Amino acid sequence: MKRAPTLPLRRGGILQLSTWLILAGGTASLMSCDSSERQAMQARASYESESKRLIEELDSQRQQLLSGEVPNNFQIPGIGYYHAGAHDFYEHSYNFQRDGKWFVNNAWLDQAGPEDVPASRPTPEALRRIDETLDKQQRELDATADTAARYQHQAQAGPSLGSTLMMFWLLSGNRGFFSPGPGFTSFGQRAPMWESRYRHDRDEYARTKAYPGGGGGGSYSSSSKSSRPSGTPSSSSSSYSNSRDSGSSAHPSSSSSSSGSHSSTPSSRGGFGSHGGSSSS
Amino acid sequence: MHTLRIEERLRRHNWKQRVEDAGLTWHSADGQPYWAEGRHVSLSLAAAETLEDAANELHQLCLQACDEIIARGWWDRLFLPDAAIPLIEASWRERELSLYGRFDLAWDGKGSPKLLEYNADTPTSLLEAAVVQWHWLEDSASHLDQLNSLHEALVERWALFPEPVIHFACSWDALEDRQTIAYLAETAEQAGKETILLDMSEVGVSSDGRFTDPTEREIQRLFKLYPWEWMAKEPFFAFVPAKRTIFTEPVWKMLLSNKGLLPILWELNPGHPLLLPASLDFAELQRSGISSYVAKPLLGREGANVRIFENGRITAESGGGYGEGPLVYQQKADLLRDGHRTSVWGAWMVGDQCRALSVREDDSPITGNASRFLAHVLDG
Repeated sequence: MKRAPTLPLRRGGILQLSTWLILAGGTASLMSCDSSERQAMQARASYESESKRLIEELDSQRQQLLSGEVPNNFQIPGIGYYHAGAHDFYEHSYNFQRDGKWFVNNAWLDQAGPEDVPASRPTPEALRRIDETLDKQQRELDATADTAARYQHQAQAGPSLGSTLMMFWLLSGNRGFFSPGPGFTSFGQRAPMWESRYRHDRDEYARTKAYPGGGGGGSYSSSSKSSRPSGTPSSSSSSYSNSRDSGSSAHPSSSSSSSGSHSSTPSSRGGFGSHGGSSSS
Repeated sequence: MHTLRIEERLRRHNWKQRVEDAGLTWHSADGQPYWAEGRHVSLSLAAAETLEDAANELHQLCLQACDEIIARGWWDRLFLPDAAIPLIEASWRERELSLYGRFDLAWDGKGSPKLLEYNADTPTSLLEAAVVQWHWLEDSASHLDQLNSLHEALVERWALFPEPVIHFACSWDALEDRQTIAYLAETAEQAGKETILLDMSEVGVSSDGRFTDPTEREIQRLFKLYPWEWMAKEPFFAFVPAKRTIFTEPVWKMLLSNKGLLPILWELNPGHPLLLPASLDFAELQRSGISSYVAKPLLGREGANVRIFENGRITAESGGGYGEGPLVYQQKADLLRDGHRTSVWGAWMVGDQCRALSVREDDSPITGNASRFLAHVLDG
């Protein structure tokens, strides 16, 4: 019954696009048959959903890291996975399994480590390495001629924003437990700009989440309106629809023909779908 | 006797992202896990094949029951609307192609699995069964196996439909339904189809009686994750007869998704080891000496409005919006138990073949909408 090593769900396929739209809080439907439109939609939906997921994670991580303690198996890109029992970061995740052994607190064991390990504070040595990594990242950025633009790009790019702020927050939460080095000191001057960007993204996320359909989803709708069952005539000139309603009776509405084997006269809509809620069984 | 074990395993550190990436965005609800990362069912290949064989045999019994229902005109036993009857007859006579369904089975490893019901029209938890539990196996126990070729089966099945473009419709606001049709569309696209997703209310009817999408494109085939019995009460059902053949699932599936099928199966196959005594009259069960039975709505969904009676007392019941319709009474079955928790097996049919298993677990004896989904693994 084994099948191919990886289930062939296509990257950027219609399921993934639907997932991105849901995560982004959008309500656009997937009426597109045009590959270029779908690709553009995929790119935008992917960006927005990934950014918002990152921001949501950052919000919870920020508070955790500023406390100075790190949860077990917490990953900081570029640093590694935190093993709370060892108070340090390592290349492999906690309970990483290979050749019948489990990687736990920098040792390969014959059995898995306990699952519920409380958060802990990293050792001064681990904090010093993070400081060095932060310093190194900034030097690399400073070495480029277009530093300002690069920073702006990085601030929008997601992962760098996330990992750099994570390092900074962790070091901030542990002042008094290690001697701040050049990384922390230098980044402290730039942090306000990064934090500002972070707050902007977070607030934007909150806004779109509060008004579903008014945020991410609307971005995809182009000039279309779905035919409403309310009886209100509406027009459709693209393949996406962004307005949804349910009605209990059929009323005429109009849609202009776009492409394919389309009728020249408007269809009635809303004659199905009056039963709200999930139909799952 | 087969040993079925519910086991604990360490949660994947990235499990939320992993299941979301696969499309399961509703892995937790109200702070409770729906995807039961960390718990799974372990069973032998022989046990899995027992369930597989049971599902295949039950499916054949169901098809035979369709023949009998139509031949004997047992429409009133299913409380079907009159307008649907000629459509069902024609759809069955022409053997319109079906896509998939899910048997819910009770089995604790002893004796034979027992049919609880057949979700033959609008089954969900498909994404979890086909993709998410498979990813879990790859991540957590890649050296072991799973009875699961659901994805491949769906791709193969779509290839049998001649239409190059397939529309998929559901109640768009129901995210689980939306992701179910998106997943089905993914499998259809892998079979070379073009797909279009829309809300049921966006399905239109042109002046010459063709079903259309909002761009006025004619719908050649419509997969609707929307029950036939709901459609039958809506205005556009009047346009279905002329275009009956474009719908998937076909309208004859109304016979199988109706729990009125259960007494018919029992009557046609009395004492069959895969069936439980069932009747539209609870007194009939009592006369047979059955004191523990379950009452459920003929057209109920997701365990809504179910009541369990034991020795004259109601020992469990669920709420819901299906409390007004007729009920079917079925002998209470022994579910797989782990402490106070009970589990129901899902056996997934694509066409006429069982192609996957799944498990839903609940703290109550009634499996409902929020019951946890458990992956399974073949171990031994």
